Amino acid sequence: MLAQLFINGLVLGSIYALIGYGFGLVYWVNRTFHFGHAIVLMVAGYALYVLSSLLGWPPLLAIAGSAAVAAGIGATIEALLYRPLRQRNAPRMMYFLVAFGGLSVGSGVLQYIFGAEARFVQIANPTYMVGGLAIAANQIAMIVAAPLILLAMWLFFRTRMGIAARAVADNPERARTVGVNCDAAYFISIMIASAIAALPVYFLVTNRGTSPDAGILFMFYGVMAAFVGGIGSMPGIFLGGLLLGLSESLAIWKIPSGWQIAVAFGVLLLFILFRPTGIFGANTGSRRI
Amino acid sequence: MSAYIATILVFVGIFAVLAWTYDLLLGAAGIFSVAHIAFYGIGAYCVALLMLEASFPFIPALLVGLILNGIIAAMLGYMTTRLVGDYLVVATLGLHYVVVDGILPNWQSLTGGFFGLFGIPQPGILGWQVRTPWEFAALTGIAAVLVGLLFFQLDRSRFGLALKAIRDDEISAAALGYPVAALKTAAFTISSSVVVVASAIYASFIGYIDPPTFDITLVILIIAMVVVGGSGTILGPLCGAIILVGLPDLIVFLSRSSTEAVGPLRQVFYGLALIGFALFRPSGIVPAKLPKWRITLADRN
Repeated sequence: MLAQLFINGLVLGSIYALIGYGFGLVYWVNRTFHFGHAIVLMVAGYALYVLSSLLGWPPLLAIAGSAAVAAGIGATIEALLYRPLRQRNAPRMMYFLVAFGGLSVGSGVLQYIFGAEARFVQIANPTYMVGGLAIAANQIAMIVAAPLILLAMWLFFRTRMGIAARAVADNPERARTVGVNCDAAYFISIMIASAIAALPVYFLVTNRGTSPDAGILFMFYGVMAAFVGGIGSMPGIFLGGLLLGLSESLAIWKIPSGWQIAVAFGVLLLFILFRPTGIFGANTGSRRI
Repeated sequence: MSAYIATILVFVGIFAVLAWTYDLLLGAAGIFSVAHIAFYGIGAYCVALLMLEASFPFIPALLVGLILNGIIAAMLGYMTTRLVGDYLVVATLGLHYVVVDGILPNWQSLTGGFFGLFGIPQPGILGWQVRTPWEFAALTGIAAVLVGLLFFQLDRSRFGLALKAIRDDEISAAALGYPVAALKTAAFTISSSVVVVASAIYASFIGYIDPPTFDITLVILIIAMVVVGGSGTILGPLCGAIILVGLPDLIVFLSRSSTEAVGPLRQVFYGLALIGFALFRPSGIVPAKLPKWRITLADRN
């Protein structure tokens, strides 16, 4: 029983970690509280639904397709919403406002097209028995893929583009003076963040279906992971996500499951109040405002 | 037929109160919280439970709810003082989910769980039984006027000016001796408790509340009203409420269109309005004016 909860916690943690990773990437490189991540999650879910259930694409192709759609949405948000604000040095609150607006528009459009009921994606999901524990295929996918993605990102940050992104995250003006294309960095980071999110979306949509208002809650879990793990430290976000997922899952042992969000929020609040820089602390601390 | 117009007026009034109370936080004090709807919900459940289970009349239930919200907000006010900007958004967002997705649906013995509370009685105020939509519109109108006057006075008072000083430059305000933490907590408390006026009217007008009533998207609507209408005045958020709530309702009523397309189209409308104003006219339709004494000083030079 406890082992089962542990596995569930790992899976949940991987989900939070990946969503949070994308959010944290944009927060770090683009210096933007990317509330629009909720829009990306929402649209990616519907893209997966359309590609696999309506068009009958095979699962891997459908996930890749939804990742591509997600990246496109992310790029659109950066181009239409964030970039104009950045160009005129808008106060931080404006980024929230346009993201809220975008969320409303996106949600309305999706609801108009698909209706308000949740849509479920039918992807073959066999369950395997491993030493007395039941584990589903999509759970295995999450636990395996998450560290792989982390590794891939670590490699990315060693490429030219990755180093450029780190430079922009550190100091955009200085990066620009040495010839780094900041705009490209902003777009690349938001597109990577959005594409990565397609994987947890796949899991969430096969388990709970997608609906027009699911985006914010999914995104919020990622936000929690990012703040617990520590902005500016990508591995930290990963650990933050795992910590949240495990504590939520293991808490079911003692607390009725409806209160899970309270447990996760409790962990978050502890970190925000007593260790705002997160588990791994930030080399970006005072840069926040 | 005309009852629908009355219903529109009631909702405009409810949302005006929500917008005014929110503007005190965001516009005057500069506190960007998204927990407003959580307090709206707590107030509604409080009033509804008192009226249903304890046979409280309307006004006493409203007052108790107001005090309860005030106490909770005062305790949580610590958050608004310790946390800045992004952290505050995250914390208040979490607060919203803990209340609306955690406490309200799961504390079934108190709140009726996912099924909510129904059969909330209509107000009886000193012998006046409020029954018809037009009577509710009258009640809402009176309440809105009172709340509007309250916030008008607050805005121009020394309290309001102190809040704006904190909003503009917290460190300087603290250096000048303003009790920043106390002032912010006070703003949070007043804002979150007066919300109960809106909660009470909604609860007894519709007669039914459940956790999904207090969805996070309502927060976006209220923020849109403040941004579109214009922060910092009384007329501004009222305009926002009229344009974003009254106008769509009126159009639906007049065109008698089918209701399926309405919900999503309204969301698109809110979203586009919010984006448009945020990008091109952040001050809103009714911009805040400089207080007279600042103009005089400029004239003198």
